[in-house]
Amino acid sequence: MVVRMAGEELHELGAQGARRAKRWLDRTTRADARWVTPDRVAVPKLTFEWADGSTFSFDLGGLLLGEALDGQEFLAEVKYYTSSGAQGKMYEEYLAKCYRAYSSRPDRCDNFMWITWAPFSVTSWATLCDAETVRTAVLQHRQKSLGVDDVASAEAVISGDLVAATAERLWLIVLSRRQEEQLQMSARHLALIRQHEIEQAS
Amino acid sequence: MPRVFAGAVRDALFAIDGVESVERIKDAVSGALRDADPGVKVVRTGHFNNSYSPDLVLEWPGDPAHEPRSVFLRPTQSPEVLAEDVEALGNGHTVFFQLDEFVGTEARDRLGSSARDRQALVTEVGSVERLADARLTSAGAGLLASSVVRAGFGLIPEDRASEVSSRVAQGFEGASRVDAAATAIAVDQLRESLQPTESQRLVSVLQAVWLGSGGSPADFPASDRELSPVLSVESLRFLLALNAVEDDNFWERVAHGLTLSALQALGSAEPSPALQRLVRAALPRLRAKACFVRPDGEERGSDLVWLVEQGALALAGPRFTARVSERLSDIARRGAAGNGPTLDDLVRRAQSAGIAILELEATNGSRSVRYSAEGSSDITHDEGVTFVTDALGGSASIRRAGTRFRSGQHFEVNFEWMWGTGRTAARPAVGEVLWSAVNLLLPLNSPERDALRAVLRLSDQVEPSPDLQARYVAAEEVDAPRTQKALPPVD
Repeated sequence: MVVRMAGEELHELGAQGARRAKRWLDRTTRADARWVTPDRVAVPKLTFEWADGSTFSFDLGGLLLGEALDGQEFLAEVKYYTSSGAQGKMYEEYLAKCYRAYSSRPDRCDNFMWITWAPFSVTSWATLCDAETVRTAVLQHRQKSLGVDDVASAEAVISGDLVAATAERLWLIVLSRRQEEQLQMSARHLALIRQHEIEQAS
Repeated sequence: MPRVFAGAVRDALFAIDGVESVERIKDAVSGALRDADPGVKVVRTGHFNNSYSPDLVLEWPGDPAHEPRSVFLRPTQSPEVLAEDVEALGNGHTVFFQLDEFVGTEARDRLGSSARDRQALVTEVGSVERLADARLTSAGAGLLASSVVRAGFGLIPEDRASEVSSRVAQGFEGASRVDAAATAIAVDQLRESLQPTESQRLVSVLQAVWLGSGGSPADFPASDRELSPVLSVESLRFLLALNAVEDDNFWERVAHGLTLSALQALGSAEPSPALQRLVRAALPRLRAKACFVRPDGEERGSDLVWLVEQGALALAGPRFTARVSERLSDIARRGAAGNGPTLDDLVRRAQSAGIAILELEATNGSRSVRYSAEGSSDITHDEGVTFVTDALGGSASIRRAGTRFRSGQHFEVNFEWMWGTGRTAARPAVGEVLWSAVNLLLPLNSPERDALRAVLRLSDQVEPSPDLQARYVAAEEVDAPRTQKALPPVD
């Protein structure tokens, strides 16, 4: 059963989800989730162009911190849902977005994250980040991601290298409310880290 | 007036490249903060808009006692989201910058009260710019700008900043006219915008202006607990900029308890009329132990003037500059060793100035002789003192001479290096130190000696009182252990 919500409520829920995901990511101490929908400052950093000139955006973005990840950028789609809903189809479109974004601006696409509160596509769960799944998604959305109408032209134009590279950059993250609200670093410990960072900066 | 830094932030918000966006935003915020408070040092962290870590850290190298302040840059357009942040992270050592316009007004009251409750400052780049700009028209409002950066709190959006500034400006103007109502407006505004210690500092400056303009302490519209015993270097500079105040009583009040270190903390100060009045008023109570005299070629007019240079109080005349300090190493510079005066010269200088010489050391380059009195009698009247130079042959010169002040402290003058230093732990009066050092180290003529006597107020010496409270002490004065330094070579 799909619950229909008014447009404004959906937006608000979307914004809430982005904020929750941002908080959770920041508090891992391994990310700076700087660009948060719907902040105006975030829009240019999260927006890309389809082949037909229309635009699409991610919900969240920023930098990863520390060790091997340090300095890498990430872009994230956030689904603050209570049930799987239509995530299957949305995820497929998201994969096409990732391919498109990586093809046009590879320098900004080090990592793509799908952050959800509700598991989906359970039977194909294990392959959701595979190159084959990406390829299928790109072909399904070929008008926007490749700029061609028929499947044959799409198969000729699609790049196996870009598909593989996109797949390598995929993260699938499932959160639960209790987890992201309570099972994270305590305010006290974060204060210690903050104090350490202030001293390091000086 | 166009808001330069605020405009730069707005442009930077919409840059496509994230790293560039952040750097430009931080550049603009840092620029606005430094404009408002030239003493602040802005340090960047590697974060932006992070949930728990600040974007910038503010420090005050000239005031190590002042704790660092964390700055959080917030691009959200929601006052409610910002209020949540203030509630989670805010305290007296935090500043939150709203970078983009708010949409919706519901949570603004909540934002204001959260900021006030936590003593955090929530403001905009444009507000900080407006506060800094006010310095152009009002020195008092200028003081406010740096105080807000250091210890401001509450919500100061851009559309309120001018009002805050002008209330304080009117208050300073009112204090100079002894207008209690106008002054009270400023006192209220200071209380509302600054954390207690900082508010007390500025209210004290306001009171200094009030008193200097003839107002009585009883009529000043603030209670005693709102006044600070400590006048910061900034406030002292502000008062020195009030050259229009000629009232010696005003300067007596400001100078009461002023120490040498407070003057030194200014770093440098021009020989303005205000500084002359201030030092003149403070002189009977100033103590120092060392003096360094530099024969100058600098043209400075015929008068003797006080100034502060390189962190030392100095008296400058047409032919010399004499610096005083607690420690010789603070002020002395080794030049080429010079030849001292002949014995005759020394005797003439000492007797003209009424200075008793208790001992001396003479040298001819290869041999030296020391001649001193047992006890404390003046050897310059001895018939036998000439044997010193006879023993050394014709080319003898005096290398060192020792004297004793009225208060009993011994003082030694060194002619090779042109300095004088006390030899006991007690610190003699600056006037005595300068009188002895300058008269012995230089061949002054009679008018020069008279001018020196007048400037040093030698007839007005005050015995140091043990319970004298240093009311006005530089905020920078920190009791840190000091080590002996080697003398630096001449520049």
